[in-house]
Amino acid sequence: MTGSLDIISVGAPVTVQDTGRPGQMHHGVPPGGPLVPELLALSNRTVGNPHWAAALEAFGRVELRARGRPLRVSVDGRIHTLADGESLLVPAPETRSVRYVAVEGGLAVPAVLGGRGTLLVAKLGGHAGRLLRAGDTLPLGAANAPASFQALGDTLDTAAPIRVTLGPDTRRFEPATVATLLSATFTVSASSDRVGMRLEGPALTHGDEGAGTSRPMVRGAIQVTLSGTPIVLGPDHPTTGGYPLIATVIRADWGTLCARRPGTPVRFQGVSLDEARHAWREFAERLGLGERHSP
Amino acid sequence: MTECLLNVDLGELPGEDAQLYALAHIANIACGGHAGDDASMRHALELCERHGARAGAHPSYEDREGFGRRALDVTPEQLRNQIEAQCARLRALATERRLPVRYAKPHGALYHAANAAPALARAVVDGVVSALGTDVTLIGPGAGALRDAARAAGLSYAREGFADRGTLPDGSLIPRGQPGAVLTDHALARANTVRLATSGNVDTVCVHGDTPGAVELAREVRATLDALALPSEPLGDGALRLVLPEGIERRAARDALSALPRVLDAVITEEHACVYFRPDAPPEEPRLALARLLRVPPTNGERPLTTIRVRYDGQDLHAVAARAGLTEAEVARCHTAREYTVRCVGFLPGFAYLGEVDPRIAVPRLSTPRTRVPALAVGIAGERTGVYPFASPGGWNLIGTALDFTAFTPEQGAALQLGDRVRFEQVGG
Repeated sequence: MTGSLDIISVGAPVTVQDTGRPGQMHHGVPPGGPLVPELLALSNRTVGNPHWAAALEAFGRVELRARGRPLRVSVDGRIHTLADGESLLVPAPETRSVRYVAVEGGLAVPAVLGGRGTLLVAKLGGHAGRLLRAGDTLPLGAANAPASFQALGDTLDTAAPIRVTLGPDTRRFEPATVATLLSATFTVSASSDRVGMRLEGPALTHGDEGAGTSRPMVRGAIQVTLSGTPIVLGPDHPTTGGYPLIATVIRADWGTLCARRPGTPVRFQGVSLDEARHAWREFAERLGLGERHSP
Repeated sequence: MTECLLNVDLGELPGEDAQLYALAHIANIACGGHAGDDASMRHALELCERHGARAGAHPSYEDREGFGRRALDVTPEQLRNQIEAQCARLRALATERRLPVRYAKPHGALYHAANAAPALARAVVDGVVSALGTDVTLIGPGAGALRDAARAAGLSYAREGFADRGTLPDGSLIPRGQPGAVLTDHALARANTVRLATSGNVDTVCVHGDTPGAVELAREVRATLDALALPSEPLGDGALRLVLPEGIERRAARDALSALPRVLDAVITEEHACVYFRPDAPPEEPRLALARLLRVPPTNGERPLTTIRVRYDGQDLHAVAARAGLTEAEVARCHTAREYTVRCVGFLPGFAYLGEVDPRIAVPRLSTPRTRVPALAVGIAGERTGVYPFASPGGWNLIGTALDFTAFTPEQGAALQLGDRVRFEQVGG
């Protein structure tokens, strides 16, 4: 008896997300994955799921109901137990950009190209490739053995400086512009989504006419538009692009950046590639990310 | 990393392969000491000019009988004069062809003897400077008397490694005549070249023109050096952006890169390749995979041809025609007249960049992108054309609408893959 999850109402975009579909960029398919990898892992682990299981990524309020069996539900690591037919109102996130709602057994929407997450631009994955709405019913996987789980400390520090490696297009910027990136305080723009986070602050001007041909992209790359606005590419970024990349956010800091709500300050700190790799190893160990489907 | 150059000892033997002059960055031309005469030097200089190798002098002890491989007992003064005479002879012949001689490398036994004896090293450098001036790079061992003497005289110095010579664990060369002294196996020579060129201690590597299979070996070494000279830039901690070498087959490049251990994905764009990996598990030098491809081009069959039916009704068709000075019907004819090739796949799932567009209709992208381009719109941006697989923002000039075309399916991925051929066919009036 696997049961299902009813969506009673939603207040802002809610999608199904997992740790993404790496390895499909050559089809033009971005890697996907959670905006805040550590929160998805935390929610999943607290209900006994593997860290990569599909869950809800909610920008706003969402109301759910257990159907067919009692359910244990984790909201950013806080567990709720629902009787069959009982509903739960998950309030809109208050301190962060999103909440993760994991259900024991995981959301068993079909895997597409190796992932269950929603890619809105291609209407792919998740529930019919779209935002969830009232009346949707999501299938659930079989519940795992009760989690013998030790509470993970919630270590998200959304005030910490965001670490970047400079480049690869640093040469296309004046040294003073690079210095501005590393010294100024930016704020998260309201027009940010899973494709990219737009930052407000001093313009990072460059003489680039944007005539450059398309180049490879990666999540975390900070592209700078013709008007000097930095955009940090998110999990659903276009796989190629023409704007110069002034720096790239290290992978260990994707979550502490993307957890920030519009209006939150962002400062950047340059680190070496070795420091970035060291930070990643620590991050992966802390979250217990195995080989499979690491974000 | 600055470029590591290939130098080849040439003009030594009759019947040497002219291809070596195309593979060498620097030709060390024997100038009468251990081998070579006016005729061989003229021939070598002519081949340098024709194939683009830079000419260098390769002076030696005067010992043609022993091919310069025996240490001789000459005074520094005698040695200086011998080196000067040999270099001046090459210089005179080069001047006839208006070729500069900007490199010099002592040959054989002198190479080792001079490096161990400051007086001999000074004699070599004095002779070189007297004949060739100070705008010369002396090639020699990584450290020792030759480097010291070159520096004291204000010459540039290139630290040399040997691609085709085996090394002992302490880094010194295995003496000739002992097993493993000369590497004829290409894989070993390649690995040796990578080790030398990436060590930071070597500015130029040598292939001996008289090593068996020298041409193939030099080709291997040159391709390896060329690959290592291409820019390779970290794109964050989990990706590496490489500049695609000219003339490489794009689809084969993707296949080769994605087959490398630890590479999770590989993407080809107009001028770059990019490999993606876990930050704690970067792949080994992916540029070498591209070098292998350049050396042994794939023998792919012809890629499939896809015909896409198009109604030429795009919002920008009129503007494109006006800009090109053509009628709208002529724009459509220009667009359908060619066969295109998929140059890259990216931006959106299934979006294929097709080239080359007829220059008459190759209009630049819109100065302000649209926030929403409908799915299946056919666009032009510069020399590229393509079909939007999904409704999305976009800055291409829209000239039509594709009919019955599915650019992307979850089962197959992108319908158009790198290297595939595409034609457009006009439907309706």
